Amino acid sequence: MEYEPVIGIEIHVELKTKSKMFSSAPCTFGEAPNSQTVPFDLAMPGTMPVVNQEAVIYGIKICSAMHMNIARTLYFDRKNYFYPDLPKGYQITQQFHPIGTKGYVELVIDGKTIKVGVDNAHLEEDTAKQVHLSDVSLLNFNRCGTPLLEIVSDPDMHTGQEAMKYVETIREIVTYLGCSDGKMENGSMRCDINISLRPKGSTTLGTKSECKNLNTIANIGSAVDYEIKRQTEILESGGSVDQETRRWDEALKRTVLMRKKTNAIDYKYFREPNIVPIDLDEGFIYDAVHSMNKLPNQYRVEFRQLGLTDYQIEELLSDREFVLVFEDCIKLGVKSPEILWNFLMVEILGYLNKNEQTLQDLKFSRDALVSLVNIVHAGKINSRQAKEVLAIMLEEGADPVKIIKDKGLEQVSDTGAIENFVDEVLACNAQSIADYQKGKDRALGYLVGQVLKASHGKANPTLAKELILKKIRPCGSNK
Amino acid sequence: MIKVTKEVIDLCAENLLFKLNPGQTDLIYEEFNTIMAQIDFLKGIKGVDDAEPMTFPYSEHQRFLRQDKPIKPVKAELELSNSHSRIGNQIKLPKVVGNKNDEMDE
Repeated sequence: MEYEPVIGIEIHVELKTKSKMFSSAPCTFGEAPNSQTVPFDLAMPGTMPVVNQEAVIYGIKICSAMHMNIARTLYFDRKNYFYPDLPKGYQITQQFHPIGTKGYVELVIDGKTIKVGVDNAHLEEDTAKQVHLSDVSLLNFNRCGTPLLEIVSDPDMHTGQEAMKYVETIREIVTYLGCSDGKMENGSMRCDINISLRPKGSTTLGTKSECKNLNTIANIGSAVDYEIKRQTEILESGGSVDQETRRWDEALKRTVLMRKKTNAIDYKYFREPNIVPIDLDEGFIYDAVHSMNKLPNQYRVEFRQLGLTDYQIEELLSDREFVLVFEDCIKLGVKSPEILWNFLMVEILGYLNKNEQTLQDLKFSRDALVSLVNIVHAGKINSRQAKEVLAIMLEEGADPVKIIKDKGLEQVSDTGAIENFVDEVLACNAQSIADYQKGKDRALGYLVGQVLKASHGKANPTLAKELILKKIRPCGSNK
Repeated sequence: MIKVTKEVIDLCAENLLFKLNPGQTDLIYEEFNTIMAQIDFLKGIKGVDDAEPMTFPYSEHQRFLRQDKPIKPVKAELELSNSHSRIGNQIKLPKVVGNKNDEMDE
């Protein structure tokens, strides 16, 4: 029997607010343990939750980017459970009235666009962080209360590749909106993946396994592919899939059992009585939606119109900071988006990575970068010289025009001056001329190289080639 | 149902890490009696068990959202003073079976 995998994904996105979801404790990462709380986070008597406006704005923006219906009134609920990671004994969440409902995201895979439904997105608070050692557990409350937006997809995906693309798309959305840093390795975006199989053509869902501990996009693809294979083998051998929670073991490259799920846990949800329903003004929602940053799909269209290839676009989109620099340079009148892309994504990115720096550390302005690109585009210096200039700009931050002048790098585009070099070279290379005339094209390249050498790299190579051809091209040849 | 006595009130206060003076205990005891009398009255109403519980006594909405401005957190030393034992700045707990931490976000 042929089986169809069905995949649904829940993503917890940590929102990049300055303070927590329901308290004014700072939201930080990497501070000393148990140093970032206020009494509410520790469930001290008499403390009350107060909803963070910025978290709501971020929630609205993300939901809007996923084409969701936005709630006009916020309701919160208690999810009751007893465990040390939440001292109140319950998590405040939006079980019954999520901030966003019924939307979708579009994934482009191998040139085809598919829609994945998003059932709901709800605001809630994160728990304390626990570290389980061999004999004890350690508890750190710094994370307790950090705002989360849980995004629940519809079971619309069927392959590991689709699952990866979905998570990548959500990460792009939340990072481009500036609502989260989306760092899976730091836990600011955490995914739980539900995978089940059903006979092809059936509409009934099979028994699912839930997979956790997926801290990279690549792991998501691997875990889904592994689970599909594992469940297929069980079903084909006549067995049945158990409902269980599994985790991805990076070392073993397989999912391993965490626990079997026999009964659903009863969290005894009820309305959070300490938060009176909050009505959101239409103006408030409008402002949130209309202050959204540009999304990757909008950039894709624009960059394609500028002539970038799909590869170049995806490379650029992988870091929003580079996109912003690229966009600024375009606005400043850069003449060649392609040369700009090369400088940014090859020379500058390579330099920053090597020196463990970011774009904020650049010593030159966007104007200077635009100036350099336009100088290269105008043929005033060649690409080798441009790299030399850029290297100096990266180290010293000087103006490209001044560097070119100081170093005497400006190309000679004066026909008369180049012609002198050409004549000099042709006089000494009769054999190469003969070779070219016999059809050996490489001889022409050699002659152009000799002209560049004679001019100390300053001769405009295109012009040099034209002049050489004019002088050595056999009569009647159009070559 | 447990009978709310002054001893029960004092014990609850102690469990919540604060102390009541005798006047406060008397006041709470008095208020509890009023509440319990009200509950006894409600219990006497026919069909009350079939009614859906209400979160708020009447429909109330608000528009207030807190500005995202962090305040100075509690010092780690003070936060940790309530912990029974610790390793460095982390609270030490007996190991619990399984990793419930993963489960909470279901």
